[in-house]
Amino acid sequence: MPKRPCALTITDDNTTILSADKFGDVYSLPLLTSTPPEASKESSQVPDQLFKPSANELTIHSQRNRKALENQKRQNKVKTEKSGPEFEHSLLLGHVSLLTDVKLAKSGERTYVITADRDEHIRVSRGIPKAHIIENFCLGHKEFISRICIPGTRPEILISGGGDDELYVWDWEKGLLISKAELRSLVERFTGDDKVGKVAVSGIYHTRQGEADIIIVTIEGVSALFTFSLGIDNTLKQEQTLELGGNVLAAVTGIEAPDGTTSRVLVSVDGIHRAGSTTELRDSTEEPISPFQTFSFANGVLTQDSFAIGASEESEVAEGVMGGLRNLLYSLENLRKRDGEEGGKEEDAVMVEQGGGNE
Amino acid sequence: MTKMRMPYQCMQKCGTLLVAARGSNIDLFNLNDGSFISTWQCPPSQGAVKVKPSIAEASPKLENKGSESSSVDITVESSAPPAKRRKLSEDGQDENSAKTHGEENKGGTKKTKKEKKQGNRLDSVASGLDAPAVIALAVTSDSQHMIAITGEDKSIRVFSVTPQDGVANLQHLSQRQVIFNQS
Repeated sequence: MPKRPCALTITDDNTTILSADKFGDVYSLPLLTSTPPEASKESSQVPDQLFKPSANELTIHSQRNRKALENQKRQNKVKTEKSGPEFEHSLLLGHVSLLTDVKLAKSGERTYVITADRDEHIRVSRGIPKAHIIENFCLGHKEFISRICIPGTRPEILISGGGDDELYVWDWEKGLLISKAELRSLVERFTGDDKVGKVAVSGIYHTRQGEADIIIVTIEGVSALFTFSLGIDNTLKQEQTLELGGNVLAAVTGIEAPDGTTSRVLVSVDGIHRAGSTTELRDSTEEPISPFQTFSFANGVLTQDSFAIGASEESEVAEGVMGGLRNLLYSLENLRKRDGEEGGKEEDAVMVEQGGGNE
Repeated sequence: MTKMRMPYQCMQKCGTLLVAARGSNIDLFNLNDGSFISTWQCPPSQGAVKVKPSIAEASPKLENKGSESSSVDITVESSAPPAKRRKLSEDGQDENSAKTHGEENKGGTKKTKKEKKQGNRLDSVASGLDAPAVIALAVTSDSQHMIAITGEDKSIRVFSVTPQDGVANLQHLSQRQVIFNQS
């Protein structure tokens, strides 16, 4: 039964959406709905088959049983009101953990679905319609995985990151760990604080610089971009640490740059929290920063350029919203398990406390 | 004093356009010159959804109230010998209105804990916005369609990115909502 979707991707033929949800299921749905939603709504309201408790009022022995029966009946009612989703969909595969990312991959003629979850798994499944068949797992992460990236130019490679101190580079088809790249020490060097403690990867992006493959990594609550070059030997070599005016929220690569290449990178920057903090808000007296910054390669080095994205209408933050935005912008660290916590349960995953002293 | 601008939590490139989500809005920009084109705002969700973001402040409280009263019942229940609890538990039952969870008699104190947690969750998930927030975006390879997930109403929304009168526009084609299942 589908739950809140967490990640999505689209098939190569642009007809099907794959949605990964927080109960560990991936299901597919057509991009365009063939039947009008009204019609499907009506049909789903016809109760198919009511669950019938095998006991009745005459067969129960105790008050407890009576209550159990009452509950069964009540649940029945609830179920007919709220059945599955009302739209056409089909279940492709299931994890026993909250899913964080889903990607489609190709090797030769074969297609694969690759999924990452909170419980350190990267699963390689066959492509639709046989995604229930598991080809492989890429195992080795010790903390949650939040992002996976398959560089367009290197489809045999998968780069994953999450709550671990390193990025992992995989030969996903074989399930082999090829190399790792240290991240936490880079963050520590950037912040000048050797007690950073934890990092949570919020984005892994691929771009090209000439003939080289560049991987750009963002970390939750850190105001910098970290770039790596992906070598022929499939190792990541640290290249640059670029400071931004605020925490990085998202990035887009492959934008056309003045030199005709598609090497421009656009970054979304948090202008309401202080750089390096996910809790402290900026002073309202500070000069507001633009929510976008752009970079392009100059002499092989990624440098900030002057390209500016305009402002939309009514783009200012309403006063009341600011506090709540933290949940929207910085939710990854919540995936980390606390001591003694058992993984794989949905409620644990979202329930992780906001860390007492944060408010 | 100039006001701070709303940050963009996710972005995608769509041909020569930039699709960027700030809270419950999706903005469209031209990547050639950086100009702003248009915006789409997610409507506040309605009836069908259990947790209405528009009354986000009221509903967690309500929920908490419910779980408190039920938790009291449960603790009373589990501290006493199992059978012959007729009177007390029935009283409790009535108070628990429509929101009662199905398996109270199984859970004991463990359930109580869980329910308290559920109260927290509502707080932590709520973004404080009037309408559901966009939590993920995807664009088809032909740049004809854009897909957004809105969090609080658990919906997958499909848009067509079509030029209308020469201006690119997001047209909301469908909303498919994943129903919050109680069991």
